[in-house]
Amino acid sequence: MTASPNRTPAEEAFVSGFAAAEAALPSAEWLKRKQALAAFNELGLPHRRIEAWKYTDLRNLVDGAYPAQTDATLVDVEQVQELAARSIFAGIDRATAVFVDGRFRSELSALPEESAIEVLSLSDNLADAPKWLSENLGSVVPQADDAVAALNLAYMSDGAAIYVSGKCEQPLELVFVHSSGEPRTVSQRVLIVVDDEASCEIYETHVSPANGRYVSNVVTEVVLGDKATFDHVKTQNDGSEAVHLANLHAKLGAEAKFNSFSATSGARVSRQQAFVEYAGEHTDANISGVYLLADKQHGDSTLVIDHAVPNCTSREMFKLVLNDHARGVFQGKVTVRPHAQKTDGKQMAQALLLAPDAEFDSKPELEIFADDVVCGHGATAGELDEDLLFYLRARGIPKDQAMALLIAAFVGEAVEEVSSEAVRDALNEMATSWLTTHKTGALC
Amino acid sequence: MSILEIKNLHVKIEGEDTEILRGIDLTVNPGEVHAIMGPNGSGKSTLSYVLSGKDDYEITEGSVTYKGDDLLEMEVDERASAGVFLAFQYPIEIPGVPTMTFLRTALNAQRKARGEEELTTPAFMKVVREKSQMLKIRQEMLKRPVNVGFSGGEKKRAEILQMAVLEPSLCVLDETDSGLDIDALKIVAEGVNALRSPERAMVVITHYQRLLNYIVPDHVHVLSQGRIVKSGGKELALELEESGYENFTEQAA
Repeated sequence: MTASPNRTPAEEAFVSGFAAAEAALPSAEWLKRKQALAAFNELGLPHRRIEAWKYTDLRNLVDGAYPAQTDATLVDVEQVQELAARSIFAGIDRATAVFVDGRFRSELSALPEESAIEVLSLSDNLADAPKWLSENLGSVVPQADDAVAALNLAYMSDGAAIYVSGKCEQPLELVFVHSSGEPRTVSQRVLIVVDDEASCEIYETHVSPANGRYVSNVVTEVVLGDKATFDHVKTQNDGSEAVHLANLHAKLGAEAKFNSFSATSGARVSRQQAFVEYAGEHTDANISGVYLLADKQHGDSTLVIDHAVPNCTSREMFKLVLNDHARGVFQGKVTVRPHAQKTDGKQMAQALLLAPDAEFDSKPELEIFADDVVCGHGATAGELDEDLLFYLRARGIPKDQAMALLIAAFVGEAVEEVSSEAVRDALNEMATSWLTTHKTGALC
Repeated sequence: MSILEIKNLHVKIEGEDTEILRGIDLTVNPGEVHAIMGPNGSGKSTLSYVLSGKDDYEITEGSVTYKGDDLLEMEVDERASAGVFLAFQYPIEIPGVPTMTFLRTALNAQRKARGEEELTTPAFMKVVREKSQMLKIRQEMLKRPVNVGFSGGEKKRAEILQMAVLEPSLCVLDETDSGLDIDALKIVAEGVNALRSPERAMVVITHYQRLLNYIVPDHVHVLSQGRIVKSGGKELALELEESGYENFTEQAA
């Protein structure tokens, strides 16, 4: 790949704004912001001629200058509290860490009090970082070929560093709030290190007012020790003008259990990448998700699963509900290396198209070099079944409510993958109410 | 006032020329049970679908009045909330929607449409428990998604359970006996008979006389080639059983 000779306004702003931003952002000697910017400068924003970005052309979709957010002032506390209260996890006993426009807000957070988990704000701890932080941050993310991750490192303003040393009793919710305001890019980072045999449940909420124009760039690194258990549930409800770019990189120890679920209903454009690398045997990774998209929303889920060792399992289950002109993209790459025998990998992506102009693109990629494995993938796209609708309506259920029931039923199979019953209930509730809150154009 | 009044009803499948119903007249009063019998293709199921509001049909002539209102002007769910219930010949499976959720959503949607209070969960559970016991429906079945993994008999019993919970004014039973063995038939018939009341009317559509031994009708109508060709008392069903539909088919032609 070579640098594009003609930079887009977005690329231009990212490159030219660096010097000023760097001076304003928290720094640490070991944090290689300059190198990261150089890597971005080389790569530019990903575009459709790069195979992995074929369906999600960021050069085209990031449609103007989004200078990095460096201002750390909190404008409207009430708005933030109102937004944070929309979290689907609000009814669940949990600790919270709240980030507003790219800065940790201790006064709005309720950090965990148990000793099994330590949560640090990155901005406050970069200069004098504990070893587990400085050694692990950036250890799982390859910088060289990922322009979005490089941009994140160059501009990251804050984030959470989480160290889990035992079995956590209480879930922790990371809340990322964006206010309205000038177009900007907010880059944040999450590092989660879970010790051998430790476990935790982390929720993630992304929310903003409808008119927030921003690029949210979040890179999450997860390092699981042997026999560690990690449950992750993310809801992305960014504003309808926003661009959400998420990178999740996980490195899993032996006999670890990794379970990550995401529900996406926000943002104009979202691309969520997950990379799973197995570092030990007998490890299970489960990545599932639900997309509920309307209008001209574009949602992309791209997974790269690398079975580098034998005896591991991977499960991917994605359900997309697409209305109006919405476009859903699913790309799932599973690599089974030559010695990774007894790998068990299954992948499924299904779309429910509620309007004639909705589009679903699915690209499964299986690269299997071992001969004793069980691997499979499937993809389907269909409409709501008229006979089912009629049956429900014939019992007195109004059409919208009947559709909502069928939508919730459709996504339910993915929601089932979430461990916590309370969270599953909240997700089902969210799916059921989605249609009434996102009713726009003509439905089938 | 009659519950249902059908006048000169002509119906064809949307986009096709052939009429399936060619002038039906039928009046059903409160408390009455009407049986509609006829051979395959006579229009029995079409009649039940038209009453419930399925949109694949075009009404070319005639009227259907339900409790004084124009039934054909009402949406599918409005008809249900107004008290029209169709027990389907082939109840379909709805994966992912638990039976209890479905029943509660339906009952509360109907109550809401009628301006009544929604039922609390304990009150609702009590209703379902009572009605399901009568129909010998196990609680385990109610936890499953609607009709998923149900046997043919279980599906029909589930239909009658829905009817018992929703307490409609007009019950239309479309070949509820098909696919039932004699034990299941008795249970279903008991469930239906328990719902007979002076305020409620039933239209029982069937191919065979057998069901009418258990659900004894007040009136029997023979449907042939889209028309009611003969009406009578319950003895008409026995007559049909002996002589077959052939006489009536010819009469219609």
